[in-house]
Amino acid sequence: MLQIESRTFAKERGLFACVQCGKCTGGCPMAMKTKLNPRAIIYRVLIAGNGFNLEGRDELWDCTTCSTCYSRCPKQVNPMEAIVAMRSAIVEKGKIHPNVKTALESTFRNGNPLKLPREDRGLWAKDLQVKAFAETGAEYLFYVGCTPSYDPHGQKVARALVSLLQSAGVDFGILGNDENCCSSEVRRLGEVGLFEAMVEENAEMFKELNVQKMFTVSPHCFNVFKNDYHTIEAGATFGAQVQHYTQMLADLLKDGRLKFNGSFAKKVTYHDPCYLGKHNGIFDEPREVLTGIPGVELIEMDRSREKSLCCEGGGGRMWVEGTNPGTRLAQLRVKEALETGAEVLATACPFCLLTLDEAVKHLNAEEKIRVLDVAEIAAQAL
Amino acid sequence: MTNSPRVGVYICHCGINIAATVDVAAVTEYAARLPNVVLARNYSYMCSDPGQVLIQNDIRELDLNRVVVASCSPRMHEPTFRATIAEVGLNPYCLDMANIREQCSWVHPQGVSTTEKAMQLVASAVAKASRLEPLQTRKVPVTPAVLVIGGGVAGMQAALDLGDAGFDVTIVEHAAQLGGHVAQIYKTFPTLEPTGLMVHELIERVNAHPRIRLMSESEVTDVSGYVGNFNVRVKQNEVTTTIPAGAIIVATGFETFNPHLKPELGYGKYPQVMTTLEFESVIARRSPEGATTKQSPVQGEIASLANERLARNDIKSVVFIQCIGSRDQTIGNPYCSRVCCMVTAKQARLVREQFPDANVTVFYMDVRAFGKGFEEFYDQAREDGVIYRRGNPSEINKRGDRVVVKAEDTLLGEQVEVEADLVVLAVGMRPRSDSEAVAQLLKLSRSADGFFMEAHPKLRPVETSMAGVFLAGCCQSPKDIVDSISQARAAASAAMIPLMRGEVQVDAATSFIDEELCAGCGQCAAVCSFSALTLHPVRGKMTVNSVLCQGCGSCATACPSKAIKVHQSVFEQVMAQMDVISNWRVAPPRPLYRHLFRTGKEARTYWALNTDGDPIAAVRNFLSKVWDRAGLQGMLAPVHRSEHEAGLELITEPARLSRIDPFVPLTAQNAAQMALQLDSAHPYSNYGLALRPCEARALDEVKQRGGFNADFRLTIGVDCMGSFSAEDFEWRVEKAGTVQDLTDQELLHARQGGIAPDRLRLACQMCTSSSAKDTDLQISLIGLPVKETILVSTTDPEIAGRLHLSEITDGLAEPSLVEQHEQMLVTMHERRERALERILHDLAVDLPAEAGAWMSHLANCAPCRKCLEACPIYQADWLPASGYGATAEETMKRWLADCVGCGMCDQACPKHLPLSAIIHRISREVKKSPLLEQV
Repeated sequence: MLQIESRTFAKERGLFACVQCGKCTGGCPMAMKTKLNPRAIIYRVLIAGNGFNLEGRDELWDCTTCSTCYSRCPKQVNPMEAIVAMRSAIVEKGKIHPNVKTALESTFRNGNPLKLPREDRGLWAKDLQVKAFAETGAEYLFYVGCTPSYDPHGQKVARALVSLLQSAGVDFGILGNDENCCSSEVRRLGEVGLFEAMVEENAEMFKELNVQKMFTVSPHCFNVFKNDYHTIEAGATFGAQVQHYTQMLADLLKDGRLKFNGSFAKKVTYHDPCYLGKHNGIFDEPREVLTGIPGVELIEMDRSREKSLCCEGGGGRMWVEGTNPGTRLAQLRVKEALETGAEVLATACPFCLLTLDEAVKHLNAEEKIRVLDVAEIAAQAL
Repeated sequence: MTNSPRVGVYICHCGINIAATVDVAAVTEYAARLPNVVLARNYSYMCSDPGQVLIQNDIRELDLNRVVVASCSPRMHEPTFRATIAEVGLNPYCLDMANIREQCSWVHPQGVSTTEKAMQLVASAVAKASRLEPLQTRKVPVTPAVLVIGGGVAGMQAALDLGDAGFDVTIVEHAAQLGGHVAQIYKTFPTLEPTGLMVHELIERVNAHPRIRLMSESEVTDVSGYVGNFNVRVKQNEVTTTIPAGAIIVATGFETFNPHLKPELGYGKYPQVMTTLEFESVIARRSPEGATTKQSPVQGEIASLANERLARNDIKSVVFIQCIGSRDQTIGNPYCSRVCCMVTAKQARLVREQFPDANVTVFYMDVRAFGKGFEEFYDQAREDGVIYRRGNPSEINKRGDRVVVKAEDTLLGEQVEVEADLVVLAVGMRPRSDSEAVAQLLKLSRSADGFFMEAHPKLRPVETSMAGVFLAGCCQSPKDIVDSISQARAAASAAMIPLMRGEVQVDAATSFIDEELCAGCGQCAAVCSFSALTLHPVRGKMTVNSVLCQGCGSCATACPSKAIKVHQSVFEQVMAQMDVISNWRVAPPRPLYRHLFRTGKEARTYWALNTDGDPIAAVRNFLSKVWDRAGLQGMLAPVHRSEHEAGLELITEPARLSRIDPFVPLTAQNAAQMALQLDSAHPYSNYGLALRPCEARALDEVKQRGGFNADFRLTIGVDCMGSFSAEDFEWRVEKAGTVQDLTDQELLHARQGGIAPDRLRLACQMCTSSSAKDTDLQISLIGLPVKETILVSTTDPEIAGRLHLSEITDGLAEPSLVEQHEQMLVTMHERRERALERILHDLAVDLPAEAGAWMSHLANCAPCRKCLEACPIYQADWLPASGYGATAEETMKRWLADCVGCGMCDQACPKHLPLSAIIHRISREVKKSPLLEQV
């Protein structure tokens, strides 16, 4: 039996405020295709007396933690966090999907969930003359993240970003092989213990290196540093100012430090990553960067900004298939992008990049549309 | 009415509101023991008739002159209880309320600390009540006219009622036309009547009314004055006029929620999405009846799309969404707007009626059909074919030339999509964006939701916290037309109350100025929101217009000279309250010492204390045993600070007792005065006080005035043969060697009753009672062989038992020693009487014999008041017991008559006037004076 103390659970997570309006489920991208129903789960917890059984609730692993539910809730209930907490209860009992287990173990051993060696983490930057933060210090720490460190497309984004920042004269450094996973996905998968350990380790390191300002490639890293680290005891020492790189670029553009000599003459549509948009309200900065690039014609999809459709890559879903792998949200999203007539589908998140890329291939649309990161597009116009 | 405060305390149970949480019996028992309290009672409902009669009877029978009611917030019942006590002749301002409900029982769990907080609140109220002064209220005539702000249905209806009642009314409307939001509505619910006709009729009546003046396209820019006599500045076409009004009705209405704040709904992005108000005018245009409906400013694209569709009858699906901007905490509108459910039902029915083929879907969370005929109307909507689906849509997306509403049908538990040609958002009501400005103008409060706040949510729904300003319509909370009209008529009749009375009573709890301190700097006027303070052109001092003053106290805090006080909250009253609370400790169950300051005629038992050649050491030893047996927490006594210095000290460490010297011949400080300070700081600590006879007498006087609580003080009287002033003492210590040597020298003369009096302080020379017989414990040395034996005595067997005097002394004293002691006291008394007569005789050469002249001489001495500050009794007199109903002269006489002759005034006088002698002389005269009979 996988019981949770439902009354305490509901109280601690503010679920009693739920008015059962269904806005969460109405907007939930997963409710379209799986059994996941955030409202109904809350309702079941509320009526469960004092014990709610999580056994067999596989749909809990469908949640992409896109936060649509929370952003729509009129009563400030957070179904997403409730789902993550239910995952924690399952993980605590050791009932973890084998893929998840591997990812978590790899995060613990290698500092990344990708099962790739720690000593290869800094390879992408070998020939780039990037400062080693630990040795020379710098104004900014460039926290690269796991996917941009190891994934080929991700590496391109990281390199593009380096060239942009170097041309704008930003003083930054990286941690190289000493960089450790931010643990955002660990938290979303419900592995609280590992998350706390990783937070403590990272916070300690940042403190030792006197990191005052930092930026990330991934909105997921950005979000966990900005919103989660300081809320737990293990991260109490973490106090650096965190930015997403699109915020940096937008500021550099405004200040005139970043200049484009070339152009990028294409129709571009922009997909808002959940962890940048819905989680953190960053809608305008990526668009400011895109429209600042000579030649870019920005076209909006109908579902943009607050309504952006999740690509299904968050919440640990890079490692868990979910209960309906047949229909992919990323494919829906690419279709929406195709409808606009855009030649490029831009985004600003390594996970979105991977899922959308794959969807383009799946739809045989490589001829019609390319998936590129905002940094890649900008770097091409330097 | 007597001089000293006689307080009655009434603790209300408020049913179980207070009594279930606070131990009212314990609070009552506690209150009964507070200073100045004559009796304390508790009762189920003090505000009920029997409760009030209880208070009135006590006032009559027990001659109470102050009343404390411990119950609810004074907002509600202060007027009630003021009237109660006024009916039996007490000044209504002699009341104070302790709010033990809102500030205590409602906000704390049941328990000891909650009861203790109630005790604190009561003690604080008693402290204030003891210092309250009677105040006189005033009446002022009223301007028989009303100003109504806002010309919607509420404003118009209120104006019509007031006009019909014969009062002049001015309506100030910011728009060009009357009618407000209702004029934009096509048909009403639940009757489906054309709204236009109804509004039209109201407007016509207003325009035709001889007593109503309409000022359209105008705004209120300033409001001054007070209930009965407001002056309202109204700006119209750049011209500002002042309109006098006895009352003001605020009917400023509402704004609809801005749906742009919910971007997921696509309002402003998709022309298919519109608000209920926009849809109302779109649908009104299709009907001849609707022609009278004022068109709301519908966005061009929405209007053209909707009109085109409607014209083509191309309406297949209409979706209504409820609760847009209502019941939503994320945008700060947690409340229900109350009308949207019915507006939607009405519009849904209109769509079904006009487009029988269209599907009409209403997404709802809960349908609130609470009004008369509402549920039936909702029933009819469903019977007309309107489909109600439970769920609040999450987003609206585009699909071709239609939109698709995405929601969860929560009854199915499924995500659903409904395509629509039109989506109508039932936008809720918001406070107008200028609410804060209006609130500032009129000094209104706003509730958490931003709407104007009524004076009481149940009992005073149309009044505001500002007397004479009333609320009508949606500016107070969301309402439908019926409720707005009802409230408007209620506001009109409430406004008529002061108008028809013709005069209003003005609260007397206003600020007042001490002109001696006022420098006329005007800082008070700068902070006064009521323009109540002006500079007197001749005197150069500020003056308070007590009719304008609302008693808020801002001026008092702004005044750099502390020249402004507010009646009912004067500095001394507030400080007394704060003292009580900051010094409050858990009250012990019963007093430790009850037998103080009695007549001195009770049987006295003497014990002997062998001194073995060192009386000081013997007394130190004895006092440390007393400390242990009595469980003292401290002792106020003279100590040797060093070999050459002595002074009073509160000893809290028993080790310090080895420096004690109760016989040291120094009076630089007064133990009575210090004891009073201890009293307020540590009222329930078990302290011993070593007192000279004059100090003991002073405490007795203060105790009689209610300024000293002896319940937790062990008083130890010590015989005194007279003492020296500080300078004299210093010189003599130097001569003798150490303080110890000087004390020993003086003690050598104990057997003879001390040294020749003319070497002592003036007051000591005249002192005729060298032994303090009214204390708990007495240490005697006069007439005794102090190198061998001194005496310890008490009249209180309980003290003797508790201290185990028979064990800590050397047994009962021999009668011969006692006789020797008492005989010497008589001798000393005679000796000092002669000295006194001589001194007074010498004085009479310089000063006139008639007491009144002496007093005036004293009053003119020099206004430094140092003597008064030094006097232990005067302090008690002018603080806790400053004559209620007594003139300053009477207080002065009472003070002079009770002089205990401690001589502190002599030492304090910078002109070295022989004050103690003068006062003694006056005191004699005053005691003969008939005026004193009143005291």
